[in-house]
Formats: sequence, structure tokens, C-alpha cells
Amino acid sequence: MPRVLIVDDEPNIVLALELLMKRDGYETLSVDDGQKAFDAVREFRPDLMILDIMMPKMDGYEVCQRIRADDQLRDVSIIMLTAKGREVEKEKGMALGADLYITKPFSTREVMLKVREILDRRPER
Amino acid sequence: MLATAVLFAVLFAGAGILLLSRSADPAVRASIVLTLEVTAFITAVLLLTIYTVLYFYVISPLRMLSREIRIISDINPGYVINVAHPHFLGDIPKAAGDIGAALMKARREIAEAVSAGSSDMEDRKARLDTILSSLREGIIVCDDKAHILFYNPAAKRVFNNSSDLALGRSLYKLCTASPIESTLALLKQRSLRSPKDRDTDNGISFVCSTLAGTIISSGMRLLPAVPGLSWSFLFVCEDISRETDASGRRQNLLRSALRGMQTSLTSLILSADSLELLPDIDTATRATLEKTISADARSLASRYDVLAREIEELEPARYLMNDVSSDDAVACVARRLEEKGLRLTLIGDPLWVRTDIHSLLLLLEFLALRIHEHAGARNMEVETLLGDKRVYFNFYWPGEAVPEAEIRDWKSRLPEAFAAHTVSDVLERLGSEIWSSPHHTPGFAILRLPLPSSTRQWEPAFPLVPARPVYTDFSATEEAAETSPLRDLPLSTMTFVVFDTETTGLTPLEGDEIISLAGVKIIKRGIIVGETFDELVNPGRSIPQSSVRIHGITADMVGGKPPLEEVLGRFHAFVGNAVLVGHNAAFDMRFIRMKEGRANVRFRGPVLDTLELSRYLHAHTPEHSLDAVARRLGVEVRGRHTALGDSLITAQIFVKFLFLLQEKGITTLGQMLEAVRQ
Repeated sequence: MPRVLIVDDEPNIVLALELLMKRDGYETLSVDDGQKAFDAVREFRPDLMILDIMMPKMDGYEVCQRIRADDQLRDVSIIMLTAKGREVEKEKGMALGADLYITKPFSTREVMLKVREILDRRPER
Repeated sequence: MLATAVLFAVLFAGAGILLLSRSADPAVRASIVLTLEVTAFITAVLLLTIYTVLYFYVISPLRMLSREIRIISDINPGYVINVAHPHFLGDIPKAAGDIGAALMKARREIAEAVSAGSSDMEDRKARLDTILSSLREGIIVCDDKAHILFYNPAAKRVFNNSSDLALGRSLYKLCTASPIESTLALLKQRSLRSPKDRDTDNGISFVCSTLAGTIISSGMRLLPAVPGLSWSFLFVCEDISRETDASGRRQNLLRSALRGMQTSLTSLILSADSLELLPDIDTATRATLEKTISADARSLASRYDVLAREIEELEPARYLMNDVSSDDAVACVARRLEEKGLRLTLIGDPLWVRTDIHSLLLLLEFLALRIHEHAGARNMEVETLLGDKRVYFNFYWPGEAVPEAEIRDWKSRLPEAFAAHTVSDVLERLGSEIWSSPHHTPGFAILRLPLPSSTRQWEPAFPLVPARPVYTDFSATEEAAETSPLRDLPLSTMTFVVFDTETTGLTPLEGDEIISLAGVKIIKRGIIVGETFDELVNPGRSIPQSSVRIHGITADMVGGKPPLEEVLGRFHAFVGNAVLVGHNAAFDMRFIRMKEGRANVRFRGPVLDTLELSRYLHAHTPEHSLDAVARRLGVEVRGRHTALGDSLITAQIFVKFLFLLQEKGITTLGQMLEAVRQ
């Protein structure tokens, strides 16, 4: 079962995303800050993570940069959640190693579609 | 009458004397003498009488009249002439009196007109002074050499009472010259293009800095020509440091409100969708979702109130965004940094950005100081590169890249000069971000700051014509190279055609066309001098003056020339199996590819780019323009900006590169492509 790590400090968003991911048959784990996210990638070994940029302690950019710099972890696919109307956030996110971005507020359908798309493309572990 | 009498007397006397001298008889002589004496007496009496009459009735009244006329002319034109004496002067005194009256009337009219005119002038001058003094904008009029002809009190304020704001002084003692010069060039260009519209041209607005470091919003326009005088221009300026602060505060407020809405909205959509998609969830989860939905709705409503209130007070942010030339911005920051012992140099061509310059300057200075702290670098370089929609300010320094954790710390800081904004606030306001990574030259690092590009980039403003854009997203070297059967051939024996084009402009998709195409052959690393391709092309459209200034090719010269489709056919034959090479070849290939179909030819082989080769071979420097590379390699630059001239320069560069590649152990086309790609 593919594993999805959800990193966002907004509990309502996390709750709904978890429900939807589970319904689509993914194993999920959620954390609410960047430091925990980094640890979770190490232990939970997700195939994909949904990573919000704006978070306390360590933000999404830093998490992304550190994961891509780590030989053990860099395989994970990263979808970044960026703010609508902030084109430059996408650009920075992609420059630091994200695979895709989704702008907030997003449609539920769009997220599910993109998650499936990326997971289908990944080689089986 | 007097003359007749005298004549008579003289005749009588003469005749008597004649008779006296001829006659010897004493008796006759005595009678003649008597007659003469009588005649003389009568004549004398007659003469006296005549003189007396003349004196009383003519001479004396004339003298009187003359004195009266003098009174009129010298003292009082209103004097009424009165010759209080009988006289023979007829109408003359009256006529003289009439002249006096007419003179008086004329003088009065002139005096009235003069006094009316001067009071009108006084009024107007006072009004003009009031207007010019009350204007918030500084106004400066300069002649064609930018010497100041006029300025108003507000200009004094804008330039902080600088003693250099004085008549006859140069405007460039007050402001950075380059944005003003390039704007002037642009205005002149426009007025040349359409002289009719010269007087209705609304001018150009931009932002520049004073030499003292104040940010001013400026507008410039040419003034209508005055016959006999050289042309002049109007420079309107205003200190905008404070306005940009206020406007920025408001924008940050709005942004934070928006961010809040974004979170609630996202959560709302997700919760609502979950309820719909998951009909069979347990009651507890359902209750949580429902609670979330109502909480989000309430949060949205209150944010809405904040926004609605704020929008009421929102004034148009007219100063926020302006066109700024990167060299001006960097020069301004470099001056401030100099005091701290740091050197910031702009490399490459300047570009225009559309931004809030006040924030940009603060930000550039802040970043330079942080990079200095981070890496200890005292000398930093900034290069502006043109991307798709943005201009990138890239800082280069020897040392490590700045990790994201440190960037995050920088962004949370509240520098004093930022007026209670964090660096992050300012970045958001500019629509920007910063990130750092190692440079592809080992030992160097780069920090990027993207900003929105200005449309001024594309306005034809000689001499500041933008450099040909370097398309980093499209690598000419890689194109078609995979399928090339030439990959394993040794570079030292291959045939190349180094080519270049001249064009009507920079954007083929918007109708720009090739007007000149040239190629030079290289066989076994030698340039074949006798075998070149060099043809002019009829572009089938007008050639903008701005481009004529570069390549010197006019409509007359290409009138009778064939279209590109025809020339491409011959060029294709000239190239044969050779490999194409160009400097920034992607630029030229964009034009050529668009016409391949109609020309019924296809350039299938790889296209090599000396610009990419230069980046690979000389990665220590960011300067890879044709001129820079030629200078670096000691290639003599002749015939620049002609297709053949540039081809020859590029060919010499390419030959030198072939030897440099060999030194690196790169001997085949395949190896070269592989190396460049990395």
C-alpha cells in the first residue's frame, strides 16, 4: 500500500486530507511542523509527501532542501502546497526539489488526481 | 520782394558806375551821381519797410510757433497753441496744434496699453509663481546637454536644497545619469519615428535615485521646439520614499487577510467534499467535519469584514510599481555599501524591472550585508538575467551557498530601515522570494532574487538596445544531437559552418524577421577564408529604426533581395553535412525553424552554441557575450553587428574552443555534447 505523509499545521485540512487519502487506499501519516516531517520521512518512509510551505519551526522549503540533500531520503516524491497568486513560491519550490505544486485553496479533485498521477509514475518498491 | 528791391538797387548802382567810368564830362557826371544817391535812398527806405513787415507778421510769429511746438514736443503734448499776434502763417499754428493733440492721444494710448500689459504680466507671473511653488512635484527644465534652465521650489525640496540644483549646472550632478539618458534616447527615438506626435507625447515615467540616495518618481518629456533654440526637456520629480512605505503597509495587511481566508477556504472545501464523498463515515467524524465547516464559514465572514473595511480606505497605489533600471538600483546600493567597505558590482547588461524601488534597494543592501556575514565575501557581483516573465538579480560570491534555514532566519528579521516590515513582508510585496544554491562553478555560490520584468525591456531605445535574450530553457546544443550519426567522429577533422543572422528585432513570434544571413566554413580546425556565405534577405516588412542603428541594413538595401525561404535553400546547400555552430544559436534558430517548412529544407544535424561552450569552458565568469568571449580569447573584433563579421569572430572563437576541448580530453562530438549538458 503506497504511503502518503501529510505535513500541514492546519488540523482541519489534515483531517480531511487523511480521510480522502485513506478512502483511495493509501496509508497515511500526518505531522504539523517541519522538524517532525523530516523525522517522519526517516521513519515512516513515505512514497509521497504533501508539504505545506508555511509552517512553524522548519518551513516546507527547508524540509524539501534537506530531504533532497540526503542520499537515504531523496527518493520521496514531494507535492508542495503554495499560495495562489504567488508564482514565485512555485518557482522556488521547484528549484529546491519539489516534484509538483498545488496552489491553496485547491479543489479536492485536483489533489487526489495529482497524488495518483505521481504514485502511478513511481517505480514499485 | 526784398530780392527784387536789392536787384533793382544793384542794377541801378552798377549802371551808374558804368556810366561814370565812361563819361568824361563833369556836368553829366554830377547828374549821374545825384541820380544814384536818390536811387540808393529810395532803395534803403523800401528795404527797411519790407523787413519791418516781414519781421512783425512772419518771423516773429514763426519764432513764437516754434517755441509753442517745443512745449508740445518736450513738455506737454496737451498744450493748446496760441500765436497771440497777427500773422501771415495761415493754418500752420492750428495744424501744429492738431499734431500736438494727436501726439498726446497716441502717447496716452501707448501708456495705457503699456500699463495694462504690465499689470497683466505681473498677474500672470504671480499666478505662475504660485502654481510652481505650490506644486508637490519638482519641475526642472533642461537643455539638450541636461544643463538646468529652470526649476521650482519643490525641486529644491526633492533635492534637499542641494547647491548643485542651480541654473546652468548639469542635472547629472543631481541624479544618476543612465536612466535619464536612456529615457531621453527613447523620447528622441519616438519623436523621430513620428514627428507629428512629438508635442502630444505624454512622456515616460520611471523611478530613479538622486546621487544623495533618495528615491524619486520621475517623468520626462521633450518640450516643443522654440525656433532658433536647441530642444529642451521637462523633468518632473517627486520624493516617494514615504508613500511607498504607507502603501506597502496596507498591502501587507491585505495579504495577511487573504492568507487567512485561504486557509479557511481550503479547509471548508475539503470538509464539505469529505461529507459528500464519504457517506458512510461514523457519527463522530461527521460531527467533527460539520463543526469545522461552520467554524470556517464564521472565520471567512469576519475576514470579509476586515477586507471590506480596508478596501474603503484604499487609495490607488500609484507609486508602488515603477520601471527601474537594474544598473541604477545596483549603483545606488553599491554607494551605500562602499561606506561599509563592501564592493558590489553589476556585471552584464542592465535590465528594466517593474517594482517598488524603495523596497528593492533596501532588500539588495540587506542581502549583500547578509552574504558578507555568511561567507565573509567583500566583493560581490550582481548579474541581472532575463527569464520568461521575470528578471533575476543573481548575487555571486566565492564560498558556500546559504542553506534554507539561514534564509528563513534572514526573512524573519526586522531591519531598522524596513519601517517595521520583516524581510519576508517586503519580499511578498515585491512578489518575490530568495533562494541560494551552489553555483555550477565549484567553490562559488549564487543567490537568486526574481522580480517582475518591465515592458520597457522591449521598447526600442538606442543605445540601450537589450541584448539578445539567452534562452536557457531551450538548449540548441542538445537539439537533434541524440540521433546524430556524427557523435563518434573526431572534432579535429570535422567540417563546421559557423553562422549568424541580423534581424529586424528580437521576437520572431511577433513578426520579426531575418534580414541578413552569413556563414563561415571550418574544416579540420581551420577557417576557410575563400568560402563564405553572405546574403541579404528581404524581410517582407519594415525594418525598425532601432535595429537599423545596430546592423545598418535599411529597407532600400533589401528591396530587391530574395525572401528567406529562397536564401535558406541556398544556405542549406552551403551547409551540406557540416555541423552548424552559432553564438547564442538558439536565438537564430528560432527564426530559421519558423521558415524551414516554407523553404522546404530541414537542418537536421546538431546545432552547437559557443555561448554554452564558453559557459562550460569558462565557468568561472558569468560573462559570455560575444564581445566578452572574444576579449577573453584575444580574438580581434572586426565587423561586429554584420552577419559575416560576427560569423568570423564566432568561428575564430570556436576554433580556439576546439583546442581547449582537446586539452580537456574531449575529442568527439558526443563527448562534447555530454560535457556541455552537464
